[in-house]
Amino acid sequence: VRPVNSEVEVDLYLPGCPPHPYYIAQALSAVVRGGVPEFGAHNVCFRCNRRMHQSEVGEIRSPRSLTPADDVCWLSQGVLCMGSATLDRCLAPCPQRGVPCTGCAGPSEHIVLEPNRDIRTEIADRMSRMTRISREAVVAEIERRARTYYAYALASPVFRQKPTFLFRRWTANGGN
Amino acid sequence: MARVIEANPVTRIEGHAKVRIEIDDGGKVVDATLQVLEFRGFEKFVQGMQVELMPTLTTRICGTCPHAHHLAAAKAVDRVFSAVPPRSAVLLRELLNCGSVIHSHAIHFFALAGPDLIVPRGAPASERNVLSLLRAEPELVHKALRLRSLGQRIAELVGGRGTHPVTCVAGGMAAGLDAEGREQARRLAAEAVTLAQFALKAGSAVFERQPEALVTLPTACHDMGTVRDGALDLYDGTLRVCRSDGSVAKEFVAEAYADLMVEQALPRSYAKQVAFRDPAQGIVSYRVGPLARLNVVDRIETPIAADELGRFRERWGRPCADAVAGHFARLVEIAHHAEKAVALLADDAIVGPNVRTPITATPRRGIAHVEAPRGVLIHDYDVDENGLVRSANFVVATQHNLSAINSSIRRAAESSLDANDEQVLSAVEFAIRCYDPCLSCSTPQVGAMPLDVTIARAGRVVRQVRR
Repeated sequence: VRPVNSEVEVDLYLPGCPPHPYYIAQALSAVVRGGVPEFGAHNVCFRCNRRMHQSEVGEIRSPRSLTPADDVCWLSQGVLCMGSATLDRCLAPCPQRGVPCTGCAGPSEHIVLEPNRDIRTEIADRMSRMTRISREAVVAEIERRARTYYAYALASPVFRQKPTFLFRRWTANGGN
Repeated sequence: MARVIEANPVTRIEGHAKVRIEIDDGGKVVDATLQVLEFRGFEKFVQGMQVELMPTLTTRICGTCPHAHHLAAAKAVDRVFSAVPPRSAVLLRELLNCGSVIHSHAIHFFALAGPDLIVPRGAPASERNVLSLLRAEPELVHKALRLRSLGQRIAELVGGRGTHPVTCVAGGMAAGLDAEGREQARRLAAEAVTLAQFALKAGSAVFERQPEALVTLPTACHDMGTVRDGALDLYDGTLRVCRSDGSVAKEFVAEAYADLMVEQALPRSYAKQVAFRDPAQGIVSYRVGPLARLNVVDRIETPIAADELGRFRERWGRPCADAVAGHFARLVEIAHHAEKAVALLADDAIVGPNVRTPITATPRRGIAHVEAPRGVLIHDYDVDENGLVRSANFVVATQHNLSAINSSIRRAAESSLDANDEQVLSAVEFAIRCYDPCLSCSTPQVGAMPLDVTIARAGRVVRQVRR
């Protein structure tokens, strides 16, 4: 299986899985006017109206084992949510309907462009500031479940080229 | 003269495929096969992922009926964690499925099959598309697309997203429906009932206008569909298999699928074909989807669709072996799901606050099924003690149907061999579209479909048609 850009020259990518109709309409009208579609600089958190706050949560929790608050940031509640590391192409429906972001639209701009930023470090930085969970614990948990947290990013050459992306090492011991 | 006709790609289907028809020196069709060219590989790359991710991730197998994969995965994951969803959650999932069926069937009947059915026979291929349909029948096309959109919006209200829903989780739903959402869904569902009745009328008119053009593809085989206490149900129930004489061969729960269905890899195709083990007749091919469902059910429990089922059986018989009738079965199912959506929304439990059963059990293997718009869809996850997927198996509608599709292709080819290439292609594509195949879904393990028809004589390609 080869990516489409190995067969034809691609003029423009519209990321999203799929992009929300809002972004498709926006892109089409920009092209019709002879312009270039706006490429979102925002992450999913930008559209999410859950409140971030400092919490006393000390360990990472699975959304299936707790009754989550429906207006508090998932990270504050100790639940891994990919929103802060994911490009907004969706208007953030999932985190606001009880489901933490799984990162389907792919990584946000600063993670793509900055060689030393990665999904796990971005989320670990935020989560460790908002809870009592250590940065190292978050990084370790994401590496331990790398196939799940990088489910939508594995095919991306951007990640394969990052010096910090050690997927093969994380998954070497079978499992995850 | 012996020849091979290839149609590549087949158009107006979901995915990429080609068709190969082989004819011997006597002018007899010796082989006719649909070859699926896509490769998806989901069964492989979900290995090692957390099983809770499956309802969200497997929607990505397909953009046409992601809701069916979402629901099948959610039901399987319920079983992985031995969690029984609360009644409110079940109602919401059923409502999501109603939206999905309305959306998928409406787009197939009007946009994909519509140009075959409504554009007069003999019209050139360049006239056989949804745009010329729009010029000829603007009201019909607008209403049909509106109906599709109503289904999709109902699904979005419940599922949280339009194309790839996310709210079904192990043990129920991550979010319920509020009073405002219920009110919106009610309005959409009521409008869908009206438009479904319009669609049934439009469908009948098609039949009456050119009945001779339609009754062309008798394909006798077993039928498999889901029944709940004998009634049509696309969310839950037991799988019933009936023989071509109407007798019941077997009724079983999805968990028993591995004993009763035989999966075979096919040469020259990425799809796996599935056959059924009839206790009395051995391994046989069978059909799933709207026609199979209407053949196996005893009744439909909503009034408009129940009437239509009666009319359908008067017109086509029971069981009906003619693949073409599948298009009309689709309209009956649209009506049923619009009516069912109204009924579900009238139940106050649809806005019940308790939508998720907490999970405590140790994960174990989970198998479940739903009826996708195109037919039986089974998800089977084997997991380790941490809930990571050890292996996954998806059995999708088009796999069940492959053998029946090939019989119909063969019949279509036999009846049009004297015609020119374009007419052969038209006839063959028409046959394929009766099954509304979705090839993205049929290749989770290895596989897809553009149309490419090859005609071979004694293994030598003598004629090839592609577009």
